[in-house]
Amino acid sequence: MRISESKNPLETFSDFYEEMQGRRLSLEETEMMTQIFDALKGEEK
Amino acid sequence: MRPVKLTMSAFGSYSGVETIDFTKVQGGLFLITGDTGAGKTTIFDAVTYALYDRTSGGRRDGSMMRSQYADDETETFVEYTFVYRGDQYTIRRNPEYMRAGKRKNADGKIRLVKETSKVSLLMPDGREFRGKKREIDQKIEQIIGLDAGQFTQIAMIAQGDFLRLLHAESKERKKIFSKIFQTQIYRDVQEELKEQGKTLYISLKENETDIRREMERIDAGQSDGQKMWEELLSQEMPPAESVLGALGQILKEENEGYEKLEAEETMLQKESEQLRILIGKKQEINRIFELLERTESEYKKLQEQGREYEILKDRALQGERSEQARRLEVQALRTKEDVRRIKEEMIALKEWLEVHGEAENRLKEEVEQAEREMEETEPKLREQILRLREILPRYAKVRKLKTEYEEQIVRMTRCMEQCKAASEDYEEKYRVFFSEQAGILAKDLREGQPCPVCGSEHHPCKAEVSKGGVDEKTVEEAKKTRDDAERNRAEVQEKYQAVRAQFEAEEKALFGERYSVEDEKQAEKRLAEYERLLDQKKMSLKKLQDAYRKSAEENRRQAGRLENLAAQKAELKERFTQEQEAFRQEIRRQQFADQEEYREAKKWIEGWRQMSDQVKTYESLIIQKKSSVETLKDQLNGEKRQETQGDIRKKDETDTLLREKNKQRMEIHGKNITHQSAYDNLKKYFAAQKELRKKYELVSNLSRTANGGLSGSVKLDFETYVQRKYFRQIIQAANRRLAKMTSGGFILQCRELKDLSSQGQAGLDLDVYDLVTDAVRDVKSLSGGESFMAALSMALGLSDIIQNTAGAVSLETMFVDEGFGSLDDVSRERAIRILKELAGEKGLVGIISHVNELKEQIDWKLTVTKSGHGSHARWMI
Repeated sequence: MRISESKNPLETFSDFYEEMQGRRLSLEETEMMTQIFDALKGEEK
Repeated sequence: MRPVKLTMSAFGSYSGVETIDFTKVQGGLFLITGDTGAGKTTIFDAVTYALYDRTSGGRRDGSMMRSQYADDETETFVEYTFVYRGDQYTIRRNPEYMRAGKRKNADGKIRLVKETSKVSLLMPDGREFRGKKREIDQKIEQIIGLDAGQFTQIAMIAQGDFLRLLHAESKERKKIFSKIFQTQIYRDVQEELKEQGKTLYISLKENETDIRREMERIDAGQSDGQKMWEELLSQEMPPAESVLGALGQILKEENEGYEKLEAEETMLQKESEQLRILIGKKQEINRIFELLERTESEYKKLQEQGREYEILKDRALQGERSEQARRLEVQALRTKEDVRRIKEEMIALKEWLEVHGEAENRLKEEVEQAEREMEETEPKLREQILRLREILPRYAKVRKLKTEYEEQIVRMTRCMEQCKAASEDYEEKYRVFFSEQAGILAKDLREGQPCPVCGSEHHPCKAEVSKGGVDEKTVEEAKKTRDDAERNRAEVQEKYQAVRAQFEAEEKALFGERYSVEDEKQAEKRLAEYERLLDQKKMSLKKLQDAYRKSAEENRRQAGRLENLAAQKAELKERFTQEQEAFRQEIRRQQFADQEEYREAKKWIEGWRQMSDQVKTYESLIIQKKSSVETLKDQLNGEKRQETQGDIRKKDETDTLLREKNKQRMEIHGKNITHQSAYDNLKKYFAAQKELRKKYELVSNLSRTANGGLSGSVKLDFETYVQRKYFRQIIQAANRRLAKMTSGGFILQCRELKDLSSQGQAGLDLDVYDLVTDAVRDVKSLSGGESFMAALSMALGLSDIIQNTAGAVSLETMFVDEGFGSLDDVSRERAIRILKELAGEKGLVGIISHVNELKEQIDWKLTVTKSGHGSHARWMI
């Protein structure tokens, strides 16, 4: 499954993070992950 | 995808062309049976190869599938026809292999040529899909909706792969799922976070190196902050505030030291400048003293030379005075010389005039004589010339008439001869004609008719015309010719007589006798002679006249010149007298006592100017020196010689101190620049360090979380987390069939996170839940039959999930290779029931097995046999 096909990869990661850390992603962490997912989507294109 | 027909040619163990028609199968479930190595799996391989250019197990690629039993002429290919969503497609694919060529080698053996790998795809409308191999492969994958990995995992479950998914460790299962569900991208997220963490860590280390380097540039020296700075340097990474504070203190001390040294330098510079001015003044006084001494000495020497210059001055004056008189003396002498020269010239000219006067008289007499002779000769010669010029044209006329007359004589003679010939011709012809008259008359005589001459009516002997006879016409023509000649003779004769008369008249009038060519030539010669003689006499006369005229003119010119010379001589004599008087007056004016004194003074004429210049230079120099002495004395104004050594030594000491202070200040300045630059850089690096640390902590935490690296927590990474979702779905789908197969004996379950180990990778661990005992146990505890059922359920569950996630793939076929040998009778029957149900759902299920019991339980069997020439397959019911 490709990131671009995934419905909401950030949300998936956010769920994973919460399960592992016991807390939601912070605003800065969310921004960081958004940048990474966007970059990987760009590479897929 | 439902198979329709599979054709294998020289592929694997099939040496020839083998075609399997799948449309014969009814009920969906069929068995592929045969001995081990007969070629059952090759059928799987052929389908997978046709679709994906690889075999079902993935261990062999297409290029290895050329049948070893095939002869060189047989092509290797697989042609697979299938129906997908009601549309039929046909793929034909061949690997790269060596086949027999059309040509042979030199030794007669067949030449092998390379057959390149090719693929073709026939679309439902019967057209061939156009494109390169890669494009055709992509099109096939697009039609099926699965890639090769997914297809072999769920539609063509290869021998050995069947139980792998069931018994695999979590780590191996992760690899399988990564391939099937393409979760690599989630691992990429992990890697990206890890990479960013590393990059940030490196940046932090570089930042620390930069900070350390900048700190080591600081030279605290003897400052108060030295100890504090050394302590900071000994720390691995001292706090920014401490470093910047300490460095700020060092900079402050440096600035203060710099300003203090600057003030001291200013003071020393002022002192040095005052000393320089004082020394300068003293040295100037001493210099004037030295100059005065030197000038006085020179003035004294000049005074001592005074007598010599007095003599030189007197000589220069004598030379100057005598030069004035000498100029007038020279002028008078020149005039005297001119008078003498004119006298000599006049004597020579008088002698010349005497000689040339006599010559002129002689010429005059010769001219007069020649003129007289000319007066006598010229009229005679002219008369002769005139007469000859008159007579010569008449000679020409007579000569012309004579020629004409002679021509007329010739013409006349010729006419006479012509006339005579014509007359004789006529007379002869007339005579002949007359003699032929008897023959002519007899020619017309007829018997019984009277003769016009004799009247006889009988003509026994008639005269005949001769063969050379002349007729009347010829006679007439001859007569005409004679008459014409006669007329011509008369005309010529008339002309001849006229020309003769004119010639004789002219000849007689001119000469009284006959004309002669010699006379005419003689006359022409005489005319030329007379004309030449006349011209010669005229020329001689003219030459004499010219010579005489020139002589007379030259004599007159020289006589005039003599008169001029006499006048010049008188004038020069007068001028000489005047110049002589002027010279005497100048002698007196220059105050010479007499000419003897003048001649004595004349010897200083040469060089008097140079002597005068020397005297002037001397006089100017002595005045100058005298003036300089007075001026220098005025400048000293009563001062005495000065002492300067003490001041110079003091100034040197001041300058040395000044240089030392300046050097110290420059050193502080240099250090200060370095320290200020280091301070600015450190400020910047510490600010960057703060940001880097913050970001590194953020990324590091995310990376550790994503990569399952949280301490004290389960080692679950992001990719595995995603795969667990699929895993749970697969288990759920598998349990639906497994419960039936085991009659509610056990089901599979994914191990919960709380039960996972915190050591090593985990997350995809599989357990068995025994529904009877309500206990959980490891999947490895399952028996062989239980394992087969669990594995079959997992494979079917995986197939369901892939079809769902891959976008409603229509997978109407499933092939399972082996595994049934491990089942007991009851379990096998249950498994067959499940597969029959599955065939009802899917469409077609093929089982590869050599278990004999299956042959009885499955109606449709594809029996594969193998002989020495390769494998064969045939349907059996």
